[in-house]
Amino acid sequence: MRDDLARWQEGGVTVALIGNGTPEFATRFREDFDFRGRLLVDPDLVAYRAARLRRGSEAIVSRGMFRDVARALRAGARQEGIQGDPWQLGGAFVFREGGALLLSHRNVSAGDHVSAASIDAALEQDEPVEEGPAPVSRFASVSTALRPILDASPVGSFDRLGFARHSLGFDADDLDVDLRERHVVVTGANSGIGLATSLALADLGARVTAVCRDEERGRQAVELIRSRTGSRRVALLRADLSDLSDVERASGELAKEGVDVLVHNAGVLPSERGESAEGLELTFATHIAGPHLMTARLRPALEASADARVIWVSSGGMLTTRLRLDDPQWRARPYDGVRAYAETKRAQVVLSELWATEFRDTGIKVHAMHPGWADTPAVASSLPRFHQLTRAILRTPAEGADTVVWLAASERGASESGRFYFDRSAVRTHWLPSTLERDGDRDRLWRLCGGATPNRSEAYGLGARSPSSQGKPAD
Amino acid sequence: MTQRLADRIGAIELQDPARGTPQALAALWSEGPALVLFLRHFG
Repeated sequence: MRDDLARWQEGGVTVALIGNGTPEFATRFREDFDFRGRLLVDPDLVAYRAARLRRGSEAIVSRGMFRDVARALRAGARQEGIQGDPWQLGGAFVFREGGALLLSHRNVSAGDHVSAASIDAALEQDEPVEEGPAPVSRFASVSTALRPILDASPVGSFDRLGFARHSLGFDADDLDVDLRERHVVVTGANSGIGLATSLALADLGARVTAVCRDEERGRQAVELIRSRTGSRRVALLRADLSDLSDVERASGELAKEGVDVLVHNAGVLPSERGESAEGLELTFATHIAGPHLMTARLRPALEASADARVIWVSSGGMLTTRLRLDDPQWRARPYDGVRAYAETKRAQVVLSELWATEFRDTGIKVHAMHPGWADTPAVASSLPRFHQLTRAILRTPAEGADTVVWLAASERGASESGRFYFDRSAVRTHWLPSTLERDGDRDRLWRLCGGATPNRSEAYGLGARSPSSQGKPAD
Repeated sequence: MTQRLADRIGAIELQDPARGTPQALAALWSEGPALVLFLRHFG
């Protein structure tokens, strides 16, 4: 097709190739293939997602793989090494001047390339065509049926192989949405899952407020989101989620603007015990106290939305522990940052269920999820050995954020409340009997956090009973 | 419906390493027909 590309360019067609690798890969590609057209890089797959191009194991394995590859080889294509995301499939689109679509081809498997003849025919016609639905994997039903068996182990499930397998069952139309009327608040948005979530939702048209602890890093994140998506509707709100005074201030500012989706993503994993401004253990303050207070303070704003959602970004690590409330501040035990992280992530899931009950008469939906094992700066700095050992199989931040985006944007995110999700499926919150809550634990957690209307200076000591225990919202 | 794809991806800015400054994809079809090929990867 190299000669065809040159022919089309000489005929006045702007030819652009978009790749998902790095600029270095693009430069080498241009040199190797002597390509003279526009060569663009999309390492975050923003344009790929917007174009609804398929992603998953059919990028590598498919029933017609050998036939498709043989056909491509006969036509002159050569595979010299993977320089980019191996799970991402491509496609081809021909646009008339002004943007009317003349050809829409989304690859359904490796080796499935649009033919030059099809492009020639599209360029000769004048009548626009329909975009067509996003391709559905032929393995979708099999993948879904086998999921409970294949997900028995985190390896092959929490990692990028698991995402590739699970994504076979994704319906791309779920994210064929217009979020221009929606205001989404994402905490911890300057990197990792929070940044990827903000990118994806801004790309879908949402107005995004990125809540970040560090002003400079937050500003850089906002600039990156704006440049990658072309959206100017991205703003920074500086706030430290562990500082309850800061949470009060930030919540007050957000409440004035209205909130449709609140994503509790901010997280920490310190190696040593630290304390927040109010003297709470830092992990507890960031994961529990701050988000709980923010949810309570934003309740009126959420109730004013026609379709409000609160999403807690938990962790698969919570599956290893039960809800522990005997020493949430780690004053009686030798500090273990990994255990503190897991315990607060378990508490987040329970809190999400309690809030779902609290909100059941309001229409506000509450979800919890876990992103799998994602390659984020936080994982690299907090769990360096784990990161080193698993780096080759870790998910990208975008893959880790996919379910957050889906819960925030899709119709499914408005249909249920109080469930725990992994890769767009509701999953159980307990793998082991030892992690089940004990009698009264849920009451104690709700009381510890101050109930539905926490008094910031008196939190964690109010005598409120949890909504789940009495069937009524607690005061 | 036929404009939806162009509207969805038109505002996205991607970088051409040979040119430095990112440009919105809509510029590709602003002055004439455009063929946009999304590669599986650069290999």
